[in-house]
Amino acid sequence: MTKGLPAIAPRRARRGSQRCAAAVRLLAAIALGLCTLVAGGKAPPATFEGTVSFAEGDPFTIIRHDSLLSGSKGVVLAAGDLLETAPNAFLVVQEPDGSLIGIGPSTQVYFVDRGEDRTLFVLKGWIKADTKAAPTRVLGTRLGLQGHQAVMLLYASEQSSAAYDEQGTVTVLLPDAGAAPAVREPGSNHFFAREGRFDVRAQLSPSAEFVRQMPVAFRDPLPAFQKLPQPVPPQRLRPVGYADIQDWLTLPPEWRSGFIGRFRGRLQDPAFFAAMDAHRAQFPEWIPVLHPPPGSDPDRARE
Amino acid sequence: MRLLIKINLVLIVVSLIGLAVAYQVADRLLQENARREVEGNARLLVESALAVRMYTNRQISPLLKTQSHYGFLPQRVAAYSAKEYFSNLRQKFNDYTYREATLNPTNPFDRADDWEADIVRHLRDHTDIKELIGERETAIGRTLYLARPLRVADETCLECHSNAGAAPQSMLDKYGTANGFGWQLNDIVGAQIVSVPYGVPVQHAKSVLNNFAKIFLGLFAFLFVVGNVLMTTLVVRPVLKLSAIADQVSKGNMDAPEFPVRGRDEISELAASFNRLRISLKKSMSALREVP
Repeated sequence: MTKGLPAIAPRRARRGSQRCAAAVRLLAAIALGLCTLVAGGKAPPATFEGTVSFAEGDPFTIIRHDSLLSGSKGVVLAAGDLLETAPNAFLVVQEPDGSLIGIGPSTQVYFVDRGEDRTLFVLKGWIKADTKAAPTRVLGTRLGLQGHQAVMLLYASEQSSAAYDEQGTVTVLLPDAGAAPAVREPGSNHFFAREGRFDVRAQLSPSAEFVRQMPVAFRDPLPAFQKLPQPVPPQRLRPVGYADIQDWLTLPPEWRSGFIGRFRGRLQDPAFFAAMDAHRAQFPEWIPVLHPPPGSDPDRARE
Repeated sequence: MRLLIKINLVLIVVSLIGLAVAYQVADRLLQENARREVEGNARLLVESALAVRMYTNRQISPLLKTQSHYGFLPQRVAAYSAKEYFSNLRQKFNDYTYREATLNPTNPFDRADDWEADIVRHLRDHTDIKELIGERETAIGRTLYLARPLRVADETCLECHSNAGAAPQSMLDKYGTANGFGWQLNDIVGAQIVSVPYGVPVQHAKSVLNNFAKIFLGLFAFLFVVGNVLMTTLVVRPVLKLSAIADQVSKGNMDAPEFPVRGRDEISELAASFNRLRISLKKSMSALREVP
């Protein structure tokens, strides 16, 4: 062959490779179709990939994987993120399907990554969710709401939760075992509150206390932007420390599953290990990881 | 009676009669003009209130709809906007009033008084009437009122006024369930009533009329003085002088000085004629003396 010119394959060999590629494509299509049939024709699970379209106040923090990040307007959130806002902050996250999530000041919210319906777990603070295409669950420590094409507000604290369906029909969810089953409330304008393990109190219209404490911005529709801001990566601050995740470790066990795999690598930090070990009674699932039984594989500790 | 006095008397009498007639005619014209002005003001105020209502319904109310879940916002209510607009206006024009008088209002403050209720009932009974104008005596004097029917023309009104079950909870918390319900589409539920005082335009008209009368009187006085001066200078004095000379001639003094003839007016002609008469008389008397 002449130096510098690409090799020219013989004609017969070219036809053969083209037929092979077509066959691969056909097989892939058949496989995808079969998978779809097996899956019952279900759409892929909803996930979080919204952009922070509005941010007011001090920067918020995100715990992504085992790193602590600083966020601002333009940051794209992801499933698994643990987000905390500053006392003077107000955020709006806009999902690709048009759903909006308003996050109030001093709020800790977990964008759950289980691959089922979109779930926001509010450890404390205020959330307003304006759901469009995908059903969304907004859970607090004591109760939650699930809605589709609905506008839901939720407040959570350590001892109580309150929720209000501003628009649309919602289902009330009670996270603790043994409590009354989920109740579907037709229409809107229902307010629910629960203190401790007492029964849910329901009434029309939010209570005066709820309205008084609610972020003022939640009284208006969440703003939707035609044009989202330019994506901005969050700024990595450092690996998480115990203090950063200690509140999250108090989540109900079913909601903190996955944290072992996520934060196990931080045990190599002696300070982190010492702090986790000191509080291991609060999260017993970590004990086999902190002190593996003799002869066991610490990497395979059950979560 | 002297000539000047006669003429002056006649002039005064005729002027006074003319002034009185002109005053009456002008007064009637200005009063009619004042009424038209008052009606125009009232109509402008009603249309302004309607414009504010429309702005509230079309632009403000939809923006505040979500907030109304969390508290009753009167700013969403068109009637409130119109009343607030007028309340601000009254800070400078406090004799004007605007009411949305309703037979069955949500806010008890809007309940129609007796005379307002009569107007509303009249508008209900005569649905062809678009506007009612009348006058009434009030504490501030005579006022003109202009009333237009308030009709439930839009179904959105029934969100708050059909029945308590459909109304926002925040509204029920504030006003209760006893009033302001049972309205139906196309019902006339009340009336927009603007009251405008007659006082200002009438006073204005009177002021204009009095000023005109003063000017007219002043002009008359000026003409009167000038006329008298002219009469005295051009007629009375020459006639008196001519009369004095005629007296002397009549007493036989033919050497009395001649009356100077200046100009070509009637007094000059009279003087020239008198001079000619005097010359003829002198010649005649001379001729008589020569006859033996």
